[in-house]
Amino acid sequence: MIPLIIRRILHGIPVILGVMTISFLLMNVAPGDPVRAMVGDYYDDATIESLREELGLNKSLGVQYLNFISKAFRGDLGKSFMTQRLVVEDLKQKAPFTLQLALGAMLIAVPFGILLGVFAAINRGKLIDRILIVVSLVGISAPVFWIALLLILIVGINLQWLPPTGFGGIKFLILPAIALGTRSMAMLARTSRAYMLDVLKEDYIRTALAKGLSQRIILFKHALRNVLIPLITIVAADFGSYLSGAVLTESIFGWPGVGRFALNAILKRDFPAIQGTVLFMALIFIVINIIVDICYAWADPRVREKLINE
Amino acid sequence: MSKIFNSLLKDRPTQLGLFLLLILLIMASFSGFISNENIQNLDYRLLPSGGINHLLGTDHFGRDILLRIIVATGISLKVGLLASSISLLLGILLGLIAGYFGKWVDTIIMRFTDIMMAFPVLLFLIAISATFEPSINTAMIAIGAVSWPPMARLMRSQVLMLKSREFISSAEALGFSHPRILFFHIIPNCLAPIIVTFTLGISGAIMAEASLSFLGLGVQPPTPSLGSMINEGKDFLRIAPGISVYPGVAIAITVLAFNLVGEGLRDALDVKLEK
Repeated sequence: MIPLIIRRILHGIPVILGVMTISFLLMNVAPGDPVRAMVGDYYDDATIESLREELGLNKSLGVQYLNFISKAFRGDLGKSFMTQRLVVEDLKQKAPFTLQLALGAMLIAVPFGILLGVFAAINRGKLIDRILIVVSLVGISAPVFWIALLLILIVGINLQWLPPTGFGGIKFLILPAIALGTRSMAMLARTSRAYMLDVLKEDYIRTALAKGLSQRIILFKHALRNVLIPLITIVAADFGSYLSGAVLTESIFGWPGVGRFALNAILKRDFPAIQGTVLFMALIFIVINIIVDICYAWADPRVREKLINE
Repeated sequence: MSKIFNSLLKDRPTQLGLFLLLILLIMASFSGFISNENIQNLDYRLLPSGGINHLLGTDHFGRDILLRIIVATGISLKVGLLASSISLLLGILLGLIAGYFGKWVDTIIMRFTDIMMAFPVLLFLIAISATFEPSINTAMIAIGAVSWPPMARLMRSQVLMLKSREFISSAEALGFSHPRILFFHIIPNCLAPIIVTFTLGISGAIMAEASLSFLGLGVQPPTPSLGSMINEGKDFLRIAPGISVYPGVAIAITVLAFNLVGEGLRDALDVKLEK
């Protein structure tokens, strides 16, 4: 197990380096002068030159690149032009809000998604199964920002059950979490339905049935367990999609997380903040993937074998 | 072949998907007849839906929502098709090369694929669109340029599977050139998963374009786009929710159509895609 963990982590390092390189290059082919973007049009050339020197932007691209990488590894992502604070500080402040939102979305998506999927599977072919299939397909096909606006319109404005937008207590979290979680709930419902149908066809289920075990025991003890393991990967992959979805959801609901920060940074050409958030999100994505692989290997001996021999 | 068509046409969800696709195509072909005057009519009269002249009402500029949706859907289809084609080409090429040549070529390409997968897609798209001038073309190319990794992985695994088969070894023994083996022996044998991934990729691309346009970084006004229509209606949610709601329905239907057909194809062609 330990060598596997180490190998996974070592595998992640070049990926992170690659992400840093691409985001650095992207920022440098971007037209427009970052220093001008930072100070606005009110400064004379001398001030701008001295600022450029201070930021190390007058050095060659190679030197800038090495500076960026070595600083980033020491946890220094530079200073945001927008907030005039260290990007790391901004991220530290905003990340918990995005985490809250993502966990909220997960809390809605995972239990309900799996429950609906399993429920549809055991009622295969019946009307309720068909309805669930259609509903989940619509859930996958509808854009997250549209679902967000519908929630604001129906729950926030017409019914006035919850505040439409804004930030505060748990009341404000519910709508954005539903908006962000809907798509992945629909995906999970579909996948768990398909897995459940596969598992129900297995020999060990037939054996259990033949032994005369009750439906409920078979369902929860034999079938569901085997469905849950492959679902780990899906749930984790969805976590990555929450980060992208958070950009839209947070902007619509005015949620002060990393997603909205990233969008503002991009629109204002705040290069250090853009690089910082991209790096941060990629890092989370990679860490989650490593954790998933480890969980997966831990839960399923066949996968462990395969990953070790890879 | 006819067996595949039969099982495809028998499947209820696929029937629905094909039907929706047909309607969308008819709508798109009509969009050519809608003149700019019709959709740029600025008399600033916001009308509710249900009127005879304006079935879905008008927006805050007095523009007919239905006509704008028809034009915008056509644009969505075009962007989806072209973006998915770009990612198809990139993915096939990189996957083929990685799988066929193996060794360090494979390592480099697959590492690059890992890196691309680690980027938060939407953020990457937003960054590209904001960096270069936002437009339909930028959006299309950006979406194609970031969504090829699944296709590359798929191609690579297909090639690895086929490489050990006898007909490829005999082609090699006969001294066929690499391109000939790749394009005439390997690609024809993985058409089924390519078609399925391509179809499902269209719905992903349409969704991505809608998200970008919603943020103002995709299709630029006055050209109508479903995403930007939803964004424009955002401020009128209380008095005229239709401005936002109807274009969303159009996106959902379009994406649904491609999802249904893609999944129908997957089942009919018996393709197993990696998750």
